[in-house]
Amino acid sequence: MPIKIENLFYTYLRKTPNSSEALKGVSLEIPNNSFAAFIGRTGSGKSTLIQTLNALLLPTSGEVHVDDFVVTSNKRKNKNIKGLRKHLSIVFQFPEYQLFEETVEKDVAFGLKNFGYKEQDALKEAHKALESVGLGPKFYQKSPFELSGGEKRRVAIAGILALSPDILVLDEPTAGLDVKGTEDIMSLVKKMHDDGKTIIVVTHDMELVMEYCNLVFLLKDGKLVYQGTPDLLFDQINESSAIEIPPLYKLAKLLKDRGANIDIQSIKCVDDLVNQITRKGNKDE
Amino acid sequence: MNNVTFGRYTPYNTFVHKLDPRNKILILILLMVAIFLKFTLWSTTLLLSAGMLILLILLMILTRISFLGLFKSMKSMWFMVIFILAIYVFIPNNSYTMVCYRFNDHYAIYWDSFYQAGYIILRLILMISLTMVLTSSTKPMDLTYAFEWYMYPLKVIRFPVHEIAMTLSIALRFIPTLLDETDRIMKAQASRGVDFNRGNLFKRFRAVISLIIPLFVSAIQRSEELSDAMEARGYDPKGKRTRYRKLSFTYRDIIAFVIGGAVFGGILYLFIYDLNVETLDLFELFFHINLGF
Repeated sequence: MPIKIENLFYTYLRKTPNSSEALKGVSLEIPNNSFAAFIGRTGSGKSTLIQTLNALLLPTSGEVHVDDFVVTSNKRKNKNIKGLRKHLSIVFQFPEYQLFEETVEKDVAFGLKNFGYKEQDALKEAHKALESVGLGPKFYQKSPFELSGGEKRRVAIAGILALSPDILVLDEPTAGLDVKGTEDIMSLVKKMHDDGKTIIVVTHDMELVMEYCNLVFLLKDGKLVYQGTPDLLFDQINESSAIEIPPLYKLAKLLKDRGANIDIQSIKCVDDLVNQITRKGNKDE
Repeated sequence: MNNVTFGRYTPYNTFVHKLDPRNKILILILLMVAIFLKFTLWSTTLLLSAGMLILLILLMILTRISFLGLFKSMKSMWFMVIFILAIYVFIPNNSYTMVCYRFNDHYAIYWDSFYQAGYIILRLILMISLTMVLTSSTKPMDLTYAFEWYMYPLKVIRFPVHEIAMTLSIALRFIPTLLDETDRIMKAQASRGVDFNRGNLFKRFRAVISLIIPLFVSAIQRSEELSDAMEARGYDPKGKRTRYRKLSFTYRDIIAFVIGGAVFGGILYLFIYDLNVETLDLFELFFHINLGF
């Protein structure tokens, strides 16, 4: 079990009149090489939860285990936080706001240097990471502030990828991107997953959940209300809940209800559905 | 960043919270002037300052301000305290009389200098905590309304009162937003291995740069977006406008004003008496002790 959360509580602005309880006793486990999603309304505690994963927030009570690392409310017990942050890295929402260096390659290398890489090694790793997000050598010497929004985001993500964390957490990686940008980022994340990394995303995009994730956690008012596979989730929830069932799932479900012989569980994207229908058609002939 | 609670508005519903902000500003100014009055005898000055301190503590209890926040902010002042002490103790002054330690015929350390430094520090603490009572009991928006009201007469000489008030209220409005932003960027950089609390001076400097630059970029972006949004809605600084929240005086304000005015008036009277009639020795007056200076 790489990630195990036990009875996690978190309260913002503790002991003040403005205090608010963001997490109220969450327990969950995320197995190795999962592609997990945290979903829920704004303010349901998703972002708070992922920030406790690498000790950016210390829980009010409860424990977070990430492989050999432990995060508790007691500061002294949390050893080697820097090691944990290299092992589990978070890409924040709108990561383009964290860029600050003069050139793209320097910005990507910045994190590596913080973790003790030598200048040359850091640049080499940075180039590799930039390559993997699809930014070639002509970007290396550019200022990050002259790039477009999507390019900035890719630079910021490269800054995290360069650290080659074993667990990658992304907070709404596709917010504010167009269809093409979303596809680019997600296929990049998919590649990381195929390379054996554990991926955790926070998202509102249910189509994305359906297409990529194999594990979903639904949070509501700081409590975990569902964990399991996406298709079971879409099956359980009703129309009135905050989650928008993806049209593809609705269509597949309607087809199945009307007697089509398809396996909803294995449908991830439009192509899957088309394949299943046409294969069935071919067999009948 | 959420631990910066010192002086932040706290939504209680106390007597002080309900006062008119204009009234609160006026009383604050009066009390500050009273704090700055200095009497001939140091014993009298200290006694009156102690009286102000007690008044202030009562006020803080009434406003439900935690003393912890005050102590925390004092903690960061230690450098200034040492600096002030060093300057007063080691710089000679002819008017000092009470010798504490004599090095040689020309140079000595005087008790007076400790009193001077202590008095300055006490005054600072009084002023900071007084201002804290105001800011933690008044919504920033109400404060700017009050400032605008006080500056209103300046309109006669074409002083841009409304523009300045608007600038002020936007600046105040964005303090929490920028604090949140700072928090966010700090976390993002911490994920990239930046340690804001440890490391040598150079490393810390690098860490702060990685925070400041993105903060400036986003602040400038935000301000551009805001000005566009305001223009798009037809904002005209010279236009006549109405106000959602009207400030009004109530019986509470009269009570507060009478108390604040009485404290100020009393101290001012003592000051003028001390200056023009005869030296005021409160210690002798109250405790019948002649300190003999």
